[in-house]
Amino acid sequence: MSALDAKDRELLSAIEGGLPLVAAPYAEIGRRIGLGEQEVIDRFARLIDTGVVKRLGLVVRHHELGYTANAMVVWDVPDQKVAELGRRAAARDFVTLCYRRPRRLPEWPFNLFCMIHGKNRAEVRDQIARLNHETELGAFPNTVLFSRRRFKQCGARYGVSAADADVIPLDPVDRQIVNGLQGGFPISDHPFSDSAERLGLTEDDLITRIQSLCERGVLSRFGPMINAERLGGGVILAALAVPEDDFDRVAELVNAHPEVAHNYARDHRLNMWFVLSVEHPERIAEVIADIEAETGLHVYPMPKLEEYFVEFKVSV
Amino acid sequence: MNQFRSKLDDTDRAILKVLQDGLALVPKPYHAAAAKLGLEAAEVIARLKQMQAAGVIRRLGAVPNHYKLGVRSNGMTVWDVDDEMIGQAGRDVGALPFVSHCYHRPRHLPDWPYNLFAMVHGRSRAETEAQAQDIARVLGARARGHEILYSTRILKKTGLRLIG
Repeated sequence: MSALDAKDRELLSAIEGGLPLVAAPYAEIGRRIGLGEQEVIDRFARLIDTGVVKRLGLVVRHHELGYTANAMVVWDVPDQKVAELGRRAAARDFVTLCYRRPRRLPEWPFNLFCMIHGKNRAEVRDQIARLNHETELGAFPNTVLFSRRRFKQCGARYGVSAADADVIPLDPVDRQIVNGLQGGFPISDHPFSDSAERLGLTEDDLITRIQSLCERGVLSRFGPMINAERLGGGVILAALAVPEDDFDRVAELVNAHPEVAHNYARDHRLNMWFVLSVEHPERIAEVIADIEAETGLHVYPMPKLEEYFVEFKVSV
Repeated sequence: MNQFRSKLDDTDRAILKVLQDGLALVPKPYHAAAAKLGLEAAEVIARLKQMQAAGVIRRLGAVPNHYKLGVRSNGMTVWDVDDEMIGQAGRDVGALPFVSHCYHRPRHLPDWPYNLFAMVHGRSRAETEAQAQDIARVLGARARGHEILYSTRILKKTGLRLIG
């Protein structure tokens, strides 16, 4: 783990959304954050040398290239073998991500995760079969989770930088949709048609525009917001004081818990603030204990003692 | 808020689990969910209405990413308020139009002296700071100190996930 200075962080934040598509991208980045072109290049070279930046360049949208099937494959591998088998799996070119993650017993016994991409499910299944057959992995319990079609839904978001997230310009119709559909969406046979009528649009137009708003990241989600407390569950805000040079590793450990509903980096000594949202209140103490054990950090629980006001709608 | 609680049965949970990744963007999304679950669409619709009426579903609809909409300065203002006065102080701050969430939370002395949290959102830090000044005026001598914690990155934003 290497220490980043403030300019390194600004630099990383400046390229998170992608390199500027101009003739001299490093000069352009330098202009944005107040560095010369050569210093930007030198800093990138150092960040790559130290492994902070894996590589610069194209991150392929595999979906657009016809790699429409992808699966998360998980195995329950004995702990003493997980490192070796993880490396073996990661060496395959069809494995695009490979992680060791904590088990969540009893529901989730799996500790090795791989993402596998292919042009169709048959190809992905064939790749998984090869991986299981040609390594020892096949000997251990595993399961395959195919992802749903991404463009049909608007699911959860991870890792949006406040500094870098480009503001998306919205036309008047987009604005009307964002303003109109925060308040609620009909529960009826033809909900898009019903709300399109209210907004003066066609059903088809509304669906297409919501898809586009999701794809552009303007909407984080389009679906139900569940109230954990009304379910008899629990919600708690908690904070961590994370050493800066360990921040991303800790964020990954914290986010790996499905009970973590939100997590924000904040500029304070207590610099990571997350919300646990659980169906069963006893999970709160368990997850906090897990996070403390995994990170070695003290969790500051900030339960609400009284609520005075909650209402959040953004008007555009 | 907690005075009445609703237990979900297995069918309710199954419906929420199908919808929690987002509604299908098709003309009849509840029919699509029903088909996946082997239920009648009318039952899915009736149960969703019930869950919404019971408050289990806070709302259904668009959840915007406020950063992308230009609301970039999200400040958690935290205040050290005299415990004797926290109730009225919280209600006063919660009544301010630009405060989106306002809670009484425990102190963690000596690291964390603050017991009143109010979220404010602006298009710039200057706007957020002006809002914090307004809160300071409303609290007056009831607040001994405050800080503004700006969010610098969304690390995760999924909402409650039903597991298992």
